[in-house]
Amino acid sequence: MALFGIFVLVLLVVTALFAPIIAPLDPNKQDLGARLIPPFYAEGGSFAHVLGTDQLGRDVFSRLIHGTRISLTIPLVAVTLAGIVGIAVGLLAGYRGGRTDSVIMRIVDTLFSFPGLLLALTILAVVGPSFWTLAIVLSLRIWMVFARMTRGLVLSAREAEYVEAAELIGASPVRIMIRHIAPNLTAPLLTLAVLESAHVILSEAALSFLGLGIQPPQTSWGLEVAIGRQYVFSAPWLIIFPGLAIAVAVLGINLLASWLRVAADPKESAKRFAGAADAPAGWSG
Amino acid sequence: MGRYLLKRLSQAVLVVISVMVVVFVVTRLIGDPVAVMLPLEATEENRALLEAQLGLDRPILVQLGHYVVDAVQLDLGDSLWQRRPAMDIVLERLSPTIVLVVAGFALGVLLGALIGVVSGMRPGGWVDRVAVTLGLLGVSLPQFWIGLVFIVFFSVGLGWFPTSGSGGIEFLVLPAIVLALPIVGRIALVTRSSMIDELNAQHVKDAVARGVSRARIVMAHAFKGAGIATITIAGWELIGALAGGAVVVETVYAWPGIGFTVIQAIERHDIILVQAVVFVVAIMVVTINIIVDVTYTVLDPRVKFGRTR
Amino acid sequence: MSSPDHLLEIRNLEVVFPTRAGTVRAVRDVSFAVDAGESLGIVGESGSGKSTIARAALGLIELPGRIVGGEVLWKGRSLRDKRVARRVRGREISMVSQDPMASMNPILTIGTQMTEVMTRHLDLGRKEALTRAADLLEKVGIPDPGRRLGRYPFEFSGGMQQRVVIAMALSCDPMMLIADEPTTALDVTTQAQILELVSSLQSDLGLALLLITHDLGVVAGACDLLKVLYAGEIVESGTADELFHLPHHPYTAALLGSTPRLDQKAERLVAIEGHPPDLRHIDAGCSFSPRCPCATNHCRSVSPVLESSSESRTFACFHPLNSRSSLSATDERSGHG
Repeated sequence: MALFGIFVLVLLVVTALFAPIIAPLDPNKQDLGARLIPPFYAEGGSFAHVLGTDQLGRDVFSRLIHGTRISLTIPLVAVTLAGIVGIAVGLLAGYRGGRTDSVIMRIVDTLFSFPGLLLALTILAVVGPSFWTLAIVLSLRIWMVFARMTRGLVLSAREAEYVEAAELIGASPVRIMIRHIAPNLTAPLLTLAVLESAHVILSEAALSFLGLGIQPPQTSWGLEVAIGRQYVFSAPWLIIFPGLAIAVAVLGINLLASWLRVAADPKESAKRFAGAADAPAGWSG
Repeated sequence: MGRYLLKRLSQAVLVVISVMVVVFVVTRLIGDPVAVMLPLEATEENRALLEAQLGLDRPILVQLGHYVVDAVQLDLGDSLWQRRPAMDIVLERLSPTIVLVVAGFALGVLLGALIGVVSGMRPGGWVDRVAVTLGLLGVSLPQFWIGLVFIVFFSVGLGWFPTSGSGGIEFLVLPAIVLALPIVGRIALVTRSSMIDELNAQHVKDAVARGVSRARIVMAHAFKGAGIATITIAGWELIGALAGGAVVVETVYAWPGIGFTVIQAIERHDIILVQAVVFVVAIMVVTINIIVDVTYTVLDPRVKFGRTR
Repeated sequence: MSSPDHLLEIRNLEVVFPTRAGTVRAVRDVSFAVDAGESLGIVGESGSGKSTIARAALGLIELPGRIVGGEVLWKGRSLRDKRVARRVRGREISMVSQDPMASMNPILTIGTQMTEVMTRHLDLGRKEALTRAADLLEKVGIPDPGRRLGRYPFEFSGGMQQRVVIAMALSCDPMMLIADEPTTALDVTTQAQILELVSSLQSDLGLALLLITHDLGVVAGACDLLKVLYAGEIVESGTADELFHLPHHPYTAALLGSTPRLDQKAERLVAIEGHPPDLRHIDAGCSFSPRCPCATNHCRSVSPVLESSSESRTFACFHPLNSRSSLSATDERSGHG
């Protein structure tokens, strides 16, 4: 299962990096003589356009491959931004404690009660959708998750004896943070980042579908579905394949995230498919 | 309890106010509402007129003050698109959304909890494998896409349901199912996980040793414990369905609720109507949050007595 | 073979736990019997298989654990038969475990948890069951029992919680009580009180008692007979008196050395050197030989079997301490030395 996730992720990254090489045709080249050609398996389709063509005669497969770029960069940028802000805020709250902590967490809690997608829609409608506004708005929806988790991890790491000892002998806060606390944060935050990028892919796709995300001539999978929607009865392949791409990407990332969570937390391993039994808890004594 | 409720209520008011301030700041300071609302061929005079009409020529703090005072009186201005109070439009469109969200949410939670309990009872069995796969699919498939695929398959292909619009119950079936799918997935995965935790807990093993029956263990012990976790998630799911899922699903199926309305309003540059929808949804979201918290307190004695889990 | 006067009889029990790194042989060829009203103590370190024996005696070896040999008989009927076990468990045999807080469901009231077994096994209505529950709470020394029934476990202190758990175990008037480390999670004063309670209940109600512990001090006063368990095997058994004053097996002697004794001024707490063997790869010879001060080459190649020295005593050692044969052991050791 995890292997499938890794495979999907590698495939996506390679596709995004080498899109111009992999794509058989120019994704924006219109051919009005070859409009709405069905995919190879259907009657009238051919391998010249493996997944058919759209209403302007553009090659669906090539557009899909180029769409990978935006569909992957958006989560990468949004999660990175959210991660930087969220982790910084979480570290501040967890390390300073006291009033700083309670004020920050109050704000974070309030933000959690915001009607997420609706607010994102509103902001995008007013500010105008573009790659960067989209990435920023999406990161605004999730940075609190990073803040909350970082704070929790810092608090529990600080209770560890070696951290208390380091504080007692007067090690500097920066040193304690880097040497003792940071290592405890890496694995869980990485897992969270993977999981959140799956959410961001879905959100980007939904916003682009609603017309408030990626705008033509750029393309993303969600936007492809939005455009194909007008031809859904006559040319269903226009929505089927971009949607499948989203589904496979998100499924792969989710599988990877759940594997990472198990790998990072032995307690979780009991919940995996228990084909081979681990040492049973509590057999001894 | 009373003091607790009062505290939660004041927090809720704070949340609604901050949502409105955020919307206000975004629309007035970052964006240019007049430019968004005016047609391209508008003149400077048109612009000045609209600004005056909307009160945008006044100082920003005065605007904010008026805005808040009006919002408290549930007056959010007139829709530019329909030329009548935005609040009236939102309230008209609210009931279809509530019907859809309640149907999808109920379906999602019931089905998800059922799948989660059954699969959590025997982790690793084939039922569990199927359930986990379904759960992962539910959370991974994009809703708008599944909605379209269902239209192609069930409406166009099989002709079982109308493609979109509203009317009888047959119009509700597909949107409700699509809205429910990710809820089923997440609720099933969470319920399963907490069922496994509960069934592996020492107190369950000891209850078996004391002679408590398997059926009672599952229903009274494990399910109640898992139910507490599920309710928390269910609250988030209800909020997600209302503030996110409904917008997407209503748009796909042209379901005449507030989600579809907000997209129509955005297309018509009707910022006033958008604000009204956000306001009403924000109020509903904080209300749901309070209900979840109270339910949680009632169900989990440790919270009631001021202890954390 | 199965004499009907034994309540619980365990015969040549073998329990394994398959793991990724090999099969753990948690219990090896263990046999003993408990009669009505009798009390038996099983003593061993953690990992010696004593809790596994307790679970087996309730017919509760769960996957991945498996009974691969021997029998567990309750009044002559096999508890390996799930239906028999289900009828007996809670009704005729009941159990008290180590950590009372963990042993009770935190989100159900004491009353609910006490009555759920009664309504199942005793055919009582909810009201009658609650009355009975209150009586039981009073019997285990909980004041104002009627009001306590509506409370949740965390509202009790540790000692009170363990009393409640004991009351729960007694709810169907069982014939036998299995207590697995019933005092380990409690502070010293409470430990003594709980032990006293268990002992007095045992004699008052004519209960058979199987008391499982790592602490010889706990079983000393409470049990007629003791079995010492090491690495899944019984290495020595006898009356409490015999074992305390004349331990034959070096492991028993070592356990005595590591028992903190309240009656001594200087508290000796000598840990036994070395580790219990890896139960996935059991070597030939006596399991204790790697840690045994008296071990010889013979001990390392041949497994000693349990032999009797008197009616109540058995031990599995080639070089028993405090017995006539211990002299020859010394000779042999010097001979090999």
